[in-house]
Amino acid sequence: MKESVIAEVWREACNLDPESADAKLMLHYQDPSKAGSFAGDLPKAIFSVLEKRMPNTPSSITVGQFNKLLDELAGFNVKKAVLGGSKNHLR
Amino acid sequence: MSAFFTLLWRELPQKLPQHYAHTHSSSRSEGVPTAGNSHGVARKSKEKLPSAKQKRIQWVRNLSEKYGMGPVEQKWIIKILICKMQLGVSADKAMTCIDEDMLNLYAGSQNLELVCAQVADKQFMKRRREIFEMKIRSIGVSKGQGNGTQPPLSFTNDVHVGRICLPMLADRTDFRKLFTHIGLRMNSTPAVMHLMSTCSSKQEVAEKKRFLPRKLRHPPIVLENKLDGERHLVHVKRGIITINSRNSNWYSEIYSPVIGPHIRRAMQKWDVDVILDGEMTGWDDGMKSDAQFGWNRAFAKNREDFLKRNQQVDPRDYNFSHSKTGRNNVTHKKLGGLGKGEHISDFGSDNSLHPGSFQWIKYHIFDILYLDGPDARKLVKMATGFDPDGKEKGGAILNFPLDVRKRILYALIDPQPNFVEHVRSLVVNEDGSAITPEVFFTQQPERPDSASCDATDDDEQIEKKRAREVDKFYNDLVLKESQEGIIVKELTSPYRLGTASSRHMAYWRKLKPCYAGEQSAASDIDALVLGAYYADGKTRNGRLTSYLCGLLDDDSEEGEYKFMTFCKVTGHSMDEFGRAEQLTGFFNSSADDSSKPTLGKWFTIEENKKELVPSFVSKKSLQFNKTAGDYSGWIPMKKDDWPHLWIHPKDSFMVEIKASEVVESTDFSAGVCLRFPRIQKIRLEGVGEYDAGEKHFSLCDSVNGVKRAYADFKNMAALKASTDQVTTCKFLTVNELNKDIRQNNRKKSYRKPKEIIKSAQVVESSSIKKESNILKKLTFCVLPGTYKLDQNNVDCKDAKKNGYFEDINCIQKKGDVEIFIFKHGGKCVSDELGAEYVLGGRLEDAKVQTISRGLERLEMRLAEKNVLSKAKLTKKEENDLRLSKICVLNWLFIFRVVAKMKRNNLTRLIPPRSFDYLVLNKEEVSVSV
Repeated sequence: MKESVIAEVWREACNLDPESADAKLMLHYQDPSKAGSFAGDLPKAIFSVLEKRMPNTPSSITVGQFNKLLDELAGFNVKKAVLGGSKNHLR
Repeated sequence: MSAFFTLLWRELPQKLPQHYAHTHSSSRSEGVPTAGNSHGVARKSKEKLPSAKQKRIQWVRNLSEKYGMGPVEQKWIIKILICKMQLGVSADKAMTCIDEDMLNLYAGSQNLELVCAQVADKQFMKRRREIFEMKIRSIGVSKGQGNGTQPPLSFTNDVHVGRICLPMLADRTDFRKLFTHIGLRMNSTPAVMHLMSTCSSKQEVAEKKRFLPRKLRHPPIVLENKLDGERHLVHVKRGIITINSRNSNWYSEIYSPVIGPHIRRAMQKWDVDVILDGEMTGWDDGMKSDAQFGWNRAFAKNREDFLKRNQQVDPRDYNFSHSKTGRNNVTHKKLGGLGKGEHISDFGSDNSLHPGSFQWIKYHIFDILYLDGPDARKLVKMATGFDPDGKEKGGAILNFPLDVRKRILYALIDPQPNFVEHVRSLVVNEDGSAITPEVFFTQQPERPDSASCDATDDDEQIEKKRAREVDKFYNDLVLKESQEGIIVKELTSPYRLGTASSRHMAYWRKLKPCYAGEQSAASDIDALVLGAYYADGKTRNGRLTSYLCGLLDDDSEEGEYKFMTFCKVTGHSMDEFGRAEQLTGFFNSSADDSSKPTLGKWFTIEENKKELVPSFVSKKSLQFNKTAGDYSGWIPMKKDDWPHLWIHPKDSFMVEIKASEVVESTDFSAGVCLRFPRIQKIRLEGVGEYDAGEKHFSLCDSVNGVKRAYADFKNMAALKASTDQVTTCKFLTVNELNKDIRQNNRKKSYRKPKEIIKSAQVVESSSIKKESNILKKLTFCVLPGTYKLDQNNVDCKDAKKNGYFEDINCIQKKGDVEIFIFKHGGKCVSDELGAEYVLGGRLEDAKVQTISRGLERLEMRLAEKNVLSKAKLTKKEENDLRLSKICVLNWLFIFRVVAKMKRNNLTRLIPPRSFDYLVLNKEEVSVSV
């Protein structure tokens, strides 16, 4: 997963219209004309979008649970790993 | 929480599947896609994407819906996913804080869970430290002490077969300093340390060093060819072969099926488990040469396909599970059949046409890290003639000297020509002779001979001989055969797993032609900037710090020049980038300001599509058809290659690019690309002037021009190497280096004074005896320069007459004058403005000249304008004005005055007369005369 993929996934997860200002902020996070002061910093850019949409309450997730979550995310890509050499075209 | 993340992100590249890891690993692991299949795969992947994408989206939704994670937590998750924590502390640092040895442990297992458990185990760490200290003691004394005892060598558990570990790294080296650095290693050996503790003076140590065994004074070294392939560690465990790269990823799926059988055959005589270190390259049996870097993967695929067709694959090479104890599990490829979407080439029934019949992977072995199995002890005994300490039947052999490891390796491996071979190398012995490794590492280890302990006065000769051998090896490989470089290894060195610190230990040193300061093969390429990319990261965000560069299309005509995209390049000072931004009208106020940037001459094209490529980019493209080209325009292969901003050639500017190599590539329409490109210079002359663009277009290099120049350069270098047989040796001995440095210093000395001390008392008071207090309470500044009496000087007579000739005749340098002043109670400072009297050597001295010229300039200004108003002064003039208050006295003045005052018993200093000055401010004249 590269930055651009992460931005795209988070955008979809938030159900944002790709043309909306917030979506553009995430997708073109390097471009100061869209991301303003967050330019170059994707986590901050996404944070700024999420902040407006959800309460900032801490969760009770444990490290173990989170570890499993990450394993799960890693598992989504299995098929691509087999493709190996042609990865350049998959982005 | 954040500390946990810091550590966690190191593990992520293994956690996430290979696709992910590749994108973040260095470009070395990038494969070159074959041209033909690219379109097909691109289409297919679009159909396939949604499933994985949908899962990911659901995963993200779950974060907030199921687990109730807020924005802050999600921000940190993203930071983990992109492997940029930006905490201001690196994971390496964090580990070092927990335990100094943790990094080394981690390098050996690449398993954080395991390492944490080990560090928590006090007993384990204690044992480890003991072994480590033993190791330190043994470095450099192997077989060299003259008493014939072997250092204690035993198997350890630093690495485990089948568990990822990081290969040892080499430090880059200066050609001239190579031998000096190798010689310095001697100082950390017990023998020399003992000398240093017993001897009182440095000379004594140096004298006694000459009586040390020759092996210590001229440590034997092995020279190896530095190959331009992929570095891989091969784990062989009960015949199952797994392969890990230096980015700690498993590559077994790709390479085991093609190289596995040959590795097994190479070591079939012995029943052992091993970890081998070496470089993999693609071998083209048609050309009988190694393939260009980047084709390894394609070769491996072709070969695998070929083997499958002929049913020559070994099921063992598909039946591996990576490290059951570790967590670095990668998906297993099922036996037989090609994966979906894999490129299946149709070569009919004729197998001889199949590229896999002549393309395969070659493994060049150069080290061994681990040895276990039933025959392990037998092998060590046979290869080296001694039995390792301890009762273990095998284990890691990192602490064995390279000499021993190489002997084991040469006994173990039965080379398979063009499949599995020892890397090309040469041993340079302590007596300056060069021996082929096949002979050196298979001979019985020689007993230390007493003769080598004698002091010999031909040390310099031996070093010179050794230097010439290295030079010859380098010339043969690098200059004549265009190999990437050579590696120099000390035979007494242990194997240090690949951490940053192990690189700086510098047991291995790499030498590449570009380090020699020679012109690199691809330098001074003039390219035109076509677009730019926004920087990523905290400090440079929102700035334009990398450019998309283009070369002139050879077919385009004057008046309507077209350009082919060529490379993405960065790497220059921020000031220069800033100036380029300014001249092209780009302006981004600041990161904290939410106002939008002014684009100026730049413009954006958001969609990454070939129809939208601006018209100044040539329609011709050499991306897929390397010679004739097609007219489909530039097709960006990577999303990241599409620039954030474009600029029209007429507003644009040129950059001078330097790179290590020109390579074929499908990424840009020029069909070639640069390896390790960086900007040498940004040329901004004429930018922004109307129609200035047209002028510099023609200065831009053309695509064919770059290709031709590069080919010429390579030929020239080879030709030069073959004709210039009697070139000077690039490698210098210690004495030669010192001489060289001295000479260089002398050349520079008039420009660059050695001592740079801020206004402070220069001369140390303690050691000098005072003679008088004549100069009490006076401060002097002695300017850097030449202080030596000219015997023809008229002052000589005066000096002889007045009895101070002896004083001035012994003066050699600035410091001597200062000592004289101190003896008579004066103070010396190095800041000329803080002193009452400034002394200079000669008018020609640089510092005196600066002051004198400044004064002249000032007088000219005064003559022009009569009045100098302080507000209008430039920096330089201000400095001149400051210096104008200084009058520089001839240094002889102080000697004359002191002598005179002594004679006449005066207490007040006699004021200088006008002829005592080297530089004199006119106003001062009237005062002082």
